[in-house]
Amino acid sequence: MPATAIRLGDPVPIRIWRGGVAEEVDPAALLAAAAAGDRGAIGSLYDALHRDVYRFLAAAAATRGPDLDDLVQETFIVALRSARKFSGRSTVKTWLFGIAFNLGRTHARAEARRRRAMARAAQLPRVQPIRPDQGAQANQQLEQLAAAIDALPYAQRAAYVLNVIEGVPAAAAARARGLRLGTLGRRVHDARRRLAPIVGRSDP
Amino acid sequence: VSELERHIDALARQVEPFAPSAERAARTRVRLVDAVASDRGARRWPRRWQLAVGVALAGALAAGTVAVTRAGGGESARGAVAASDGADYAREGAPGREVVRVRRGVMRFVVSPLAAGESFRVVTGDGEVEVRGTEFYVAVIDDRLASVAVAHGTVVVRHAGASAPAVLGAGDHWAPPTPPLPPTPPPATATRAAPSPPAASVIPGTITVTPLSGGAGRQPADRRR
Repeated sequence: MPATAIRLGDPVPIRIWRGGVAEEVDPAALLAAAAAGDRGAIGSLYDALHRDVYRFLAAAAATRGPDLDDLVQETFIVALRSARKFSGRSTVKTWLFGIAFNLGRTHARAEARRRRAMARAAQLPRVQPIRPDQGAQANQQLEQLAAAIDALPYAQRAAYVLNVIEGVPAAAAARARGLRLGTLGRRVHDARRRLAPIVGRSDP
Repeated sequence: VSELERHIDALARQVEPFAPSAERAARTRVRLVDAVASDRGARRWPRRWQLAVGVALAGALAAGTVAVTRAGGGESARGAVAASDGADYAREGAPGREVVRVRRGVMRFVVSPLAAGESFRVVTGDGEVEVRGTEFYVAVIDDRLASVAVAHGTVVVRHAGASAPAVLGAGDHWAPPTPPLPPTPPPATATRAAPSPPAASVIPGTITVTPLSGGAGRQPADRRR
């Protein structure tokens, strides 16, 4: 079933298409129907929000590989299992980001362990797939910044992505994560401090 | 927020966001709907039935494990091995330092993460694949390493025809510098006929052997169920 979101976030209803007819659905109602096992609702919820979850997790968990698909799938599964916990204080998208945040943290820790083990076990050249379109067109500074964001500690990276890149207001982001506002702000600030050398400008 | 911080944020927002291809997103969608459906189906089972099935499965797995362990000489292993029909292989090495010697066939290995000092190697006549705790496939033709494909984790491939080892990650595929000889028909009797318990599964401290049916690669979605 083709479906599309009107724009990022709620309470704007999600527009889904049934038999060529557009229908606007309250995201919370869609979540409830999906949690009740309505396969059409599960698909519609995914159709409406999967791009956001993919984008957030790719940046927060710093992964683009097959693990990303697993993380996205797991985010929706956890959301459907715990749909009763959705209080409506945040948007469904922000709530999904909160779930993805936790899953991404677990993934990032496992990935960090794997990388450390690899570095210890073998200082060998890694086989890299060839991507001819990569590099030539990209802005070097943006590439460096993207790499620096990927290299941030997970807590800082995910907070920065959630609040700054995804544009979730600080209060809502902190609530979705169960953090105090000050903690979230400090993580975002620390992330910016680490990214500053990439920009190569001094603070006036 | 200072001017510098605003500048950093503005640049960060220009970093191209990830967007899945339509095919990739559709694949995840199918997996999600299937996973939720099967998850709900499993939950509808009464608890006593779940318990009974669990006990029965555990018994069946234990029986299969004992039989295979005896056939293999009682050695322990850190992973599950699935072999194609007619595969010619043997387990060697010692507990904690597993070696699977493969002369012919397509094998799937699912190896649980190894402890410090442990190793798991797949050896052929012209090379070896060293495992770090992963799921991967090895094809061997006439004692020659023909192909290695990694589903999860990392393996190191050392080959007589390569000057340096290759580290393969998830999704990577390795092939020898020169193509191996065409396969010969398998003999009527294999060195070891593969028994047929259910799907291969990782049982730390044991090794299970199952036949590899056509295209039996486990997809990532299955890990989630």
